This record gives sequence, C-alpha cells and structure tokens, in this order.
Amino acid sequence: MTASFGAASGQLGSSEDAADLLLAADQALYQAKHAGRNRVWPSPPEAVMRLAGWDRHGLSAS
Amino acid sequence: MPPSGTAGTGMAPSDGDQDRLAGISLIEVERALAAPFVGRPFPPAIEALLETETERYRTRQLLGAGLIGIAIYLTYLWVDWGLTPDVLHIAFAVRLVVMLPLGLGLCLVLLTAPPPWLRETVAAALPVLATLSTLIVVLASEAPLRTVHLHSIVVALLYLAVVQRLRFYYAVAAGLLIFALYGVAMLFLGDGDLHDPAVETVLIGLALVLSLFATFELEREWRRGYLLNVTLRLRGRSLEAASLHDPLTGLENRRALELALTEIVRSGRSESVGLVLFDIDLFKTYNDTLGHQAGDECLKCIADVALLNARGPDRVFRYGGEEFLLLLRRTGMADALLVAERLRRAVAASGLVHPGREGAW
Repeated sequence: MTASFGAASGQLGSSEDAADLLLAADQALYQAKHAGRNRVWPSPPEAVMRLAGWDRHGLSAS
Repeated sequence: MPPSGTAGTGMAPSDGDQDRLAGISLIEVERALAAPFVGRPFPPAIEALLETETERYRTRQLLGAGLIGIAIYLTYLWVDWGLTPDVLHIAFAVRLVVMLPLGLGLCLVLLTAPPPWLRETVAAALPVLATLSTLIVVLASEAPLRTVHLHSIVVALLYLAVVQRLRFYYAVAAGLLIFALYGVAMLFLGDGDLHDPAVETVLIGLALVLSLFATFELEREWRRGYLLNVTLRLRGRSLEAASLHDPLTGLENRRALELALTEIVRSGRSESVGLVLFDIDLFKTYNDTLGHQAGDECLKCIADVALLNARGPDRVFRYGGEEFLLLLRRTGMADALLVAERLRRAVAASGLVHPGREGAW
C-alpha cells in the first residue's frame, strides 16, 4: 500500500490565502499522482509565488 | 478578553468551560439528577463544579440579602418604639451599638470570598442575631404590648427562606436556633404575658416548618436546574466533538480543518503554514477487490500511521474519501517535504498489501 503526497507552504493572511494554499497542495498531489504515485511533490512554483504575495507587488495584473 | 471563535455568540463555551467540564461525565450527571435530594447529593466532582461556578453569584446574592436584612432590621427600631417604648434606650444600644456593627462585619466577611461553609454560616447567623436582639428587648420591657413583638420571629423565618434562600441544612440549623431562642424567651416571660402560649408556639412552629419546606424546595429546584444546565452543556460539547471528527478514523474532519485555518487567519500571526495533502494510491481498486470493510480498515490503518509519524503539534485531518491532510504550523516548504517523505515511507512500510497494485493501470 502506498500513498501520494502534495506539499505546500505559505503564510495565511486572509481566508483566500487558506483556499490558495489548499489548492496548491491539491495541485501538488495531482502532480505526484501523475508522476507515478508513491511520491512527494512540492506545490507548483506559481502557487508558491502567489502565496508569497507576488500578486500584491505588481508581478501579476490580478 | 482573548479573541476567540465564540465572540459575539453570547454563549461562553470558552477554554475555561472546557477545563471545568473535563472531569465530568454525562452519566454521572444524569445519575445525580435521578437521585433523590438529600441535602448534599452530588458526587464530589459535580459538587466542586457547582461551587466553582456559582460561588460568586451566591456570595453576591447573600451580600444583597444581608443589606436588605439590615434595612429590615433597622425598621425594627420603629416597632420597638411602638411596642416597647419603655426600653427604647436598650433597643438602641442592642440594635445600633452591638448588632448593627456585628451584622455589617458579617457582611464584610462575605466580601472576602469565604469558603462555602463559612459563607452560609455567616448568612445564617444574621436572622438568628436579629431574633436574639428582639428577644432581649422584649424580655427587658414591661410594656403591655411587648409580646406582640415576638411575631417578628416570623419575619426572620421568612427572611432566611425567601430572601437568603439558605441551603437546607443551614436553614434547619438557623431555624431551630431561632425556635430555641423563642422557647427560652417563653420561659422567662410570665404566665400572664401571653394570651395563649401554646397557640403562639404552634403558630411560630408552623412558620418554622413552612420556611424550612421552602428552603428545601428552593435548594432542590436550584440543584436540579444546575444539573440540567450541566447536562445541556455536556451534550453540546459531545455534539460539537462529533461534528468535528470523522467517526471511522477518529481523525478531525474537513469542518475542523476549516475552523483551524480560519483560526490561524484570524490570529493574524505571520507564520509559515505547511499543508501536506495525501491520498491512498489506487484505493478504489483496493476497495473493489477486497470489499468496503477492508477499505475501512485500510483507512483506519493509514490514519494511525499518519498520527504516529506526525510531529507533536501537527494535526491530521481526514480531508475526503481516501484523502488526508497534515496541518503543519510554523513549517516552511523544506520541512513540509521532509514530514511528507517520512510519512510516505511509513505508509509504504506499513505492511498493508494492495492486491491490484501490479495489475491496475
């Protein structure tokens, strides 16, 4: 029996951040599954950047 | 007041509430509810809880009753003036110089948050002292109407039952003491003083019985009400716990996760939070091959492995069907990956065999 893991990390300044972090972990899990299961995958970089607050510094229009 | 999730609800299921109710079981409370009331019927834990939660209110209640009592007591001076005008100087001396400071002193004792026995004893002493001073005035007087003043004993008996709501045993002690004082006064009064001493005594005795009956009933209802209150709170707690946990694995559920995340957001601390979401590989195949019961066992086993491999402050949630989530406080990506990798190895080494592992997909 094996399991696949998605990991994400970030600061929770608002409830949107919490939803984003969950989404990031979910995306990472999806990647772990697609990469062949039984592995740990970090959340995709764009999710990490969003959680690091890059949106608010003008790096993204929205 | 610390910020908490219950702000604005008006109820107070605070952390303090959790701690206080911690050692109390619903069965214990319901047993106490069913038991007949005999003075002090609760098991020690519930009795201690009752005392903890009601002592401030009770002390304030008795303090208020004490001040009301002193006001009533001072009107006795006017009664003295009407019924025993020949010993007004004695009445003034006894009531204002001796008893009033004594009564105020006893009220001051109530302000020091005394232990229950002292609090109730101090309160019970007030009507006894009031009766004693009236009897002294009556015995000192030669006025024709002085024995009418004995009726003020009924006021004292009413006061201890209705205003003070003395606990039953304390009321019995105070009531019997008052009645005994009355009996002693009767010995000192001459034969011609009362129209019919026997009738007077029976009437005072009836007043005593009724006031004791009242204190018995009041205490019983108060205790019943308190137990029902505790029952409700315990039921609420167990319902809340049930609504936040997954019955199969015992892990916290998704609703608990949402509350936990909201709590972190609300705390406003800028800390890194790690989330590790994991999912049993090919669980559907496992379920279909071995049956749902085996699937449930598998879920339980994975939950145990996750709990065993989580660090102390980490929380494990059942996120969905075969999905679990680790909530890691103060954890950056590197450590989150380490925790996840350790758990991955533990799951792989758990000894659970997937029958369709090779064949599927």
